[in-house]
Amino acid sequence: MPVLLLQLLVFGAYTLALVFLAGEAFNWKEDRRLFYVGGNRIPLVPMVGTFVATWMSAASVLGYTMWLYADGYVAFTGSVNGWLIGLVLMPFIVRKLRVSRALSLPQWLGDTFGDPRLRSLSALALLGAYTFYIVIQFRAFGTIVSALLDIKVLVASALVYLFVLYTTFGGLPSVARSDTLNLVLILGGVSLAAFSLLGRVGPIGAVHQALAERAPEMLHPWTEGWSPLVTTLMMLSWGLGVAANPQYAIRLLSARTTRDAYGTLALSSLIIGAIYAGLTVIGLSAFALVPYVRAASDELAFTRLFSMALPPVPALGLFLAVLAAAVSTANSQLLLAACSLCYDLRPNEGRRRGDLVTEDRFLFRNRLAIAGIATAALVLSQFRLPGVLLIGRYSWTVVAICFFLPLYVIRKPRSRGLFLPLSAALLLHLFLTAFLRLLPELALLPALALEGILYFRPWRKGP
Amino acid sequence: MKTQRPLSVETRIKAILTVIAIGLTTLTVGTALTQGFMERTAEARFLLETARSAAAGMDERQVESLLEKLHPHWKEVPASQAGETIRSSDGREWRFVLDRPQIWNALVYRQRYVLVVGLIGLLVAVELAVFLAYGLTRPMKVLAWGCEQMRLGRWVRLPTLSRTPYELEALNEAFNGMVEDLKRWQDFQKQAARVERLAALGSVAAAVAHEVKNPLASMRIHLDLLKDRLPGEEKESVAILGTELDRLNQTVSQLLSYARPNPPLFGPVDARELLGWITSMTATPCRLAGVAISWTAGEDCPPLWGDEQQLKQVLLNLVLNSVSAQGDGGTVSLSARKEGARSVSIAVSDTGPGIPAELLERIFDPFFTTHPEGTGLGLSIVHRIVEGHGGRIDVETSERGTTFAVTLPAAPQEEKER
Repeated sequence: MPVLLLQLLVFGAYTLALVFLAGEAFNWKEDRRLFYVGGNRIPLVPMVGTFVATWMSAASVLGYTMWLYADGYVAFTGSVNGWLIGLVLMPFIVRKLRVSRALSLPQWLGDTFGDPRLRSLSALALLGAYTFYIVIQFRAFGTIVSALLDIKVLVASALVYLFVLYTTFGGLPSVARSDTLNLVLILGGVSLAAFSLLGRVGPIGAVHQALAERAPEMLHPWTEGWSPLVTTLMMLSWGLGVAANPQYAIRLLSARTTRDAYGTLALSSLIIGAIYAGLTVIGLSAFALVPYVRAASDELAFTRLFSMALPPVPALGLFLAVLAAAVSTANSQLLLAACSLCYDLRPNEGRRRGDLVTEDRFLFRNRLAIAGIATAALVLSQFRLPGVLLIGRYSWTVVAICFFLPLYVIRKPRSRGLFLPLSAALLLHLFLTAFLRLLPELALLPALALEGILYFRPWRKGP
Repeated sequence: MKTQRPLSVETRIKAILTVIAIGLTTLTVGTALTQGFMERTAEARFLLETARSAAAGMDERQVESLLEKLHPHWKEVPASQAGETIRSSDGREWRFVLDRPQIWNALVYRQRYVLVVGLIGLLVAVELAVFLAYGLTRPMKVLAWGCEQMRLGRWVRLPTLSRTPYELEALNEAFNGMVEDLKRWQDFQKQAARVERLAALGSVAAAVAHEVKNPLASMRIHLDLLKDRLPGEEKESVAILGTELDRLNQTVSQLLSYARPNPPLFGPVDARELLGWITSMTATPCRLAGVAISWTAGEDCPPLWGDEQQLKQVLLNLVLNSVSAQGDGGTVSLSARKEGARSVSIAVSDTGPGIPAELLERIFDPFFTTHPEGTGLGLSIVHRIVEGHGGRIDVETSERGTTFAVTLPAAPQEEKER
């Protein structure tokens, strides 16, 4: 069978699986709690599915693999290490979050500090950060499919746009169901590609041997280009961003029980670890097989590299894993962005459901917002924007500034005490990145420090 | 055993549109590919025939350069395999077979946009199906909600949904019409049952009251006679007996007036005079209860059309009821105003704790009272008199107080002028 036809048939099968597994977009008995947090009763298996699938974004699968291919283990030190630090911190916020009956992280923030302005400010930051992050997902998949099928990027991006729209219309229950399918595809695709490459290059020892011969610096945790300081700062920044990311926090809030939330973190860490191990094998083995690939972007390089390094079926599995990662992360971000726009930025919206018609109108507005934000992201994905990881870094750092301190550091919230420190920190971050051209993760630390100093005011005496 | 939930409208419509989209895409792409394959094969065969006839007049070297043009559709195979033969003028033979996978690859590549657009079409069809199902199920959802509310005893009116097909709108209107009729029917049944109950009660009460009233009168006369003959201490006991007899007599009189009300003697009644009279009559009980009483009447308030004595009784009962509802302190306000062109509304408002919702329906029932010493006939008599005047009585109550609003007909214009 022609490879092109096989690829199209696989995408078609994925479409059908998604259509019938994602369930109903318009639930018969839906309300805002069901739509945003699955009625706080998502069972363990879909919870793990949605947690891991959301975790594995296109930045993880594509960005990390290509960074690893280019620079070796420094990619692990700088990114995966940081992401895992974030995962280790998460159990500390489970109880804190689950005490609240909030439907979103901005609402939790506003309620905790008794300040509606905080809710609006953080919602605005999330809306911006997630819209740009969705652009990454659309672009990553669009570029890969356009290279594979030799079609226009816009047509290829339209595919992922429709997948994402479809799975997000049903709210978190639909996202969780489709994410479980996506996780199976990510795990399957990465495992197939990793085993196939190991079969070609030999065991991991042989991969290291090949690296030691061709580029020994790739085996070091940092290099000349990525100094220990920069790598550690980057790791810290990713870690803080992940730890405070509302995508994961909202899932911990949606679990049926606190025990399920802890169980999700435990099981997810095992699966995430396995996927990163697979990606590490893929990135390093690909270098051992094809040490040089020339392309205009990370996404194109990824497509060319694995079309050369892998036989058609494992390569297709890996590309499908990127698609699944893009869809699963984008739908989660789209839901949160719509929630910020329709719920958190409208101060009159309470957490309690209105009557049937009011609730129906409210949820319909959310669906329109989902379509609007996704369309904006699709349009933006057609422009030349900074690389995949750079957009991700901007987004993570903004999220970390909004939520890290309140979630992990502040134990006794002071009423209306965080708005000014948070605003000042966001402005400082903007100033440092936009005007002084500092890397977003380097700008994050002074911004967080300023936020902490302005909040705790160590110069003031007394309780 | 857990029964399997039937498929939803959304799933069914999605399935139908998905099958249609897949069918159409398969048909379109399949036809294009098959037709393309047949055309390419025919072209390849024509090319081979042309090459074969040309090769017959060429030597081996010339034919070899000619055969390059047969690629990629034809694949050369060893002479031992079956295939199409081309022979040069000097007797050299080449064997070729059609390279079908190569033709398919080229065709799929050429039709790739059609395939991707088919995939996009499938997704668009599914998303359209979702919204189509939403448009259909939304009014049904509202209707199901309405039925559920009715089951819970709440009368609801379904809201008008925007952009709903007229058939479903008709369903909505039919439901609202049914609810209104049912409510009217329920009110009517309640009223009929009440009337029936009161009629039976009235007959019994009248008979009993009549039998009791005569002995009571006789007892009162003899008690008065006895009082003059008794020494000091016993006189006190007889006085108490007298008071209790009077109370009994009053209750019996109330029963009689309820059971056998006199027909009203209609005439014009000045609302201001009525309110003034009530205020002065209830001044003592109000003062004893620490309740402030006041009245107001609108400048344009016309005279009422009714029986003055009966209307006095109505307002007296309402005011005394308000005073006793407040405990110590509070205010009672009376007001009269013109209501529409031909009615007058008199309101008696208090600042008491209000009437609990579960008691509100029963307050006009005879013998229903929350006061240990009450007869439970005061408000029943009010209700009966107001109904006898062709008026109506409304109650509004909250934690901040209660208002009884009595709406009665205004006196005809000529009576006012008289």
